[in-house]
Amino acid sequence: MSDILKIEHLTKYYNDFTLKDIDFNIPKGSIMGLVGENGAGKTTTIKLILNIIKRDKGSIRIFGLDNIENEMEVKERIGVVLDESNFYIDLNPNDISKVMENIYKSWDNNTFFSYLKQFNLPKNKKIRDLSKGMKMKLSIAVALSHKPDLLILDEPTSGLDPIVRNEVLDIFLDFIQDEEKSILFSTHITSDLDKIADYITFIHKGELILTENKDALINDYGIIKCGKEDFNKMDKMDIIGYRKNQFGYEILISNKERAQMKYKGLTLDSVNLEDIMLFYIRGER
Amino acid sequence: MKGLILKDILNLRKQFKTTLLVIGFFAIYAYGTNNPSYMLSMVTLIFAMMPITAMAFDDMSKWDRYALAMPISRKSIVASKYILSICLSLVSIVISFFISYLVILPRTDITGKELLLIAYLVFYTSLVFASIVLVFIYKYGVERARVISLGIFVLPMMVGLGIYKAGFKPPSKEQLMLLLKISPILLVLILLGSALVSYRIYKNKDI
Repeated sequence: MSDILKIEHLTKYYNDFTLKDIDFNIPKGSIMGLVGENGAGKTTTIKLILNIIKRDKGSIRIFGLDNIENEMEVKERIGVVLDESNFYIDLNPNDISKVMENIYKSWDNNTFFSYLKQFNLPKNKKIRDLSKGMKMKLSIAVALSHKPDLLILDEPTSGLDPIVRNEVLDIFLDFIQDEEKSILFSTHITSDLDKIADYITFIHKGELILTENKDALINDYGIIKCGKEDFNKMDKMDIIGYRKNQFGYEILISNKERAQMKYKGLTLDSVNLEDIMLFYIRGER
Repeated sequence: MKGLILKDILNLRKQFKTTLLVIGFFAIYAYGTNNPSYMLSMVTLIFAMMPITAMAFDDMSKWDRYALAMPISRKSIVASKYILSICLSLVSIVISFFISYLVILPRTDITGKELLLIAYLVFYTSLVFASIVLVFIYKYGVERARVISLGIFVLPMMVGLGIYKAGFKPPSKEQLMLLLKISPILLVLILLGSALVSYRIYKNKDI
């Protein structure tokens, strides 16, 4: 399976923040969830991929091409959805189609208008009169209408109600159905990724914590619940993070199978992405 | 590039409608006073301010970050604003020239040639104004540049008045003619120089 996006040793220095040595790749036909707390470096990573800011080290290859040397060629094949509509509020979808057909060579008005129909978006309604959910659907329609091979989504579901969020997630799942296209989905709403992501890349304070297949991650990681005595007996190398509460200890481990053999008799629970993220960020070590 | 300019024109649609009313008002004023120069300069000033408004709208909608995610270069973004300024100045000067030519000229001593000269000077001034303001916008952002732009209007007047008060002799007719002849080249140089400076600032801007 070839990669649509391949990032190696990506580094960017700021005075007060460094994005350090980020490595991950997105295979064709898959959704990569990019997670991390606010300020972890998700948006910086996306800006570097889109060459909106210049990288200091590393390489980014999209469709096998360097993202700086072949910038325009690469961007023709990328659709981007940011956390808000980026058109002036007095424009309507009709106006947007006129602008976009002069920006993307492969822009297709038929595709755009059929998405508008599918999403129940009126052609002549100004952006200022659209709800947040409608604005997001409009942004998605815009991002899909030049037939991109890679979708880059920066917090596309934040602030949406659960119903619209599910609709939006379905659109993304539809997009990768032909196994040729991929999505990079940056969010801190991990439940969205529980639903649709194939892979997870987790960044914390500018550093890569993990990049793995989501199902393997959910299967391999687990939480041990135990008292102080058992906790003290545990091999500290097995502990990724722990939380102390009035009932005892909750410990995140990365190899459930091994832990089951090693710590017989202790309660071992399954995890979701939020648990993993929380233990890494807030848990003690 | 075409898409960027079209986007600005669509964004400014409401402003164009208001401007039509303003042009009507100044046309009546010019008709009443038999003096078109005020209309020419006011209409051109309003159009010259429009690229600033267009950039304020871009800021509001965080357009640039989005635009740079598309196959649009930073160079195109900067160039589009200069082309927009030139187009708007041209439109304003053509509109106000023809109103003056048709309505006022037959009733006054001003010749067509004189009117053309006034129109040219106003057009020229508006583009020099744009060249300065755009650099300030890229450097300091729209809001601060708006304040600075007022200064740009006042400063040359003060300097001119100072020179006049200091008793300097006005330039001769020949000198003025020479200045007029080389002025188009000068304008192109000013615009190019300004665009280059704006691009340099914008190139290194974190968006």
